[in-house]
Amino acid sequence: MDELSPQSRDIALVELLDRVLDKGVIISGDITISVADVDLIYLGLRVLLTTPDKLESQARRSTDGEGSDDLVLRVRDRAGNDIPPE
Amino acid sequence: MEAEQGIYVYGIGRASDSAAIVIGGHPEIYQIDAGELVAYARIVALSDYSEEALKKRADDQAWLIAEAQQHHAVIAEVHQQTPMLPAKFGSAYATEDDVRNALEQSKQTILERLRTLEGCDEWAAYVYLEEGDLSQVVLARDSELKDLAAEFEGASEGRKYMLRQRLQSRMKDAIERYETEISQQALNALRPLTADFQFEPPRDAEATPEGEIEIARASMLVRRDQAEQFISQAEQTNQSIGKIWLKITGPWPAYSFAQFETEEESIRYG
Repeated sequence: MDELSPQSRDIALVELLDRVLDKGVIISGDITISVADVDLIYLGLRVLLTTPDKLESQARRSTDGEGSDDLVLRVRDRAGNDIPPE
Repeated sequence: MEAEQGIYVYGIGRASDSAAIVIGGHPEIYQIDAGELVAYARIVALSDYSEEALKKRADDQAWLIAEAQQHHAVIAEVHQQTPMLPAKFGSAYATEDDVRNALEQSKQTILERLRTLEGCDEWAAYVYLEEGDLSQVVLARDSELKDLAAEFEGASEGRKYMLRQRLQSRMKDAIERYETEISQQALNALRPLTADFQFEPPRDAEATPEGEIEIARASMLVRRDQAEQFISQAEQTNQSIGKIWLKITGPWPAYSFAQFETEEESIRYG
């Protein structure tokens, strides 16, 4: 099986951000921040896609050396094999 | 002086399931009882979740990524044990009563949505187009386009000038149609194995490091007892459709199937 490449880690992080920052239910009520602010932050983070080196370095800092287990749940390579997280 | 405290909500579950839920990795998470519902929450400094604070931290990507990972880790832990509607990142309230009031406003809709998530995980599917020229593929499928290309090849320079734009435009349309058709075919092959399904616009105009371009994506809700069949179908689809690569990832909490129009919005907008 292939090892998870740095590029795959980046894609998995972007995928996580796509779900966590862009989705989820907005329960109305007296929420303290506006959804528009979160959406703007999300769009800003996504711009990092075009600079993968920067994104990878941020991910490494944020996980504090714990690896990418939290990011990659299940990724399959082109042959359909599970690619284990590092 | 102690900072003003608020309530950060990770997601919503059923009160009837809540007693058995263990959130081992995150002792700071607790449940707010709201009748038939519970919110999974944490006490935070409200100053961290004000509009101003978040705008200031918008450039602190390491902080945002760490927060997003923590948000996901909690939701994933609960999701493995019970149906849960993940809350939008950054959902912070001033008081527990604000949370209860918010849940009460949409209680029936939330309960109904939780029922549909029972025993299901979310899976993401992405369709990538392999690097390479699709001209020959679409020419083989479209006789009119093929005739036009032949006419162009045999034309004088002056006539070529006249035909070039038409041919390019027709070719572009044909390639777009092909991409749509082949990606829908790949995603629709998975559809019978899903409990819910939604197409989403592709996000990444940039090619992957392997030179592939995302042309379609979808989120799918899949029953756990059908997950292996779902994965197997994705593998078969990959082998049967040329020129594209179908990637699936999961299982995820039901982020894409949590959204709904609140009852208040429904009244406001009809």
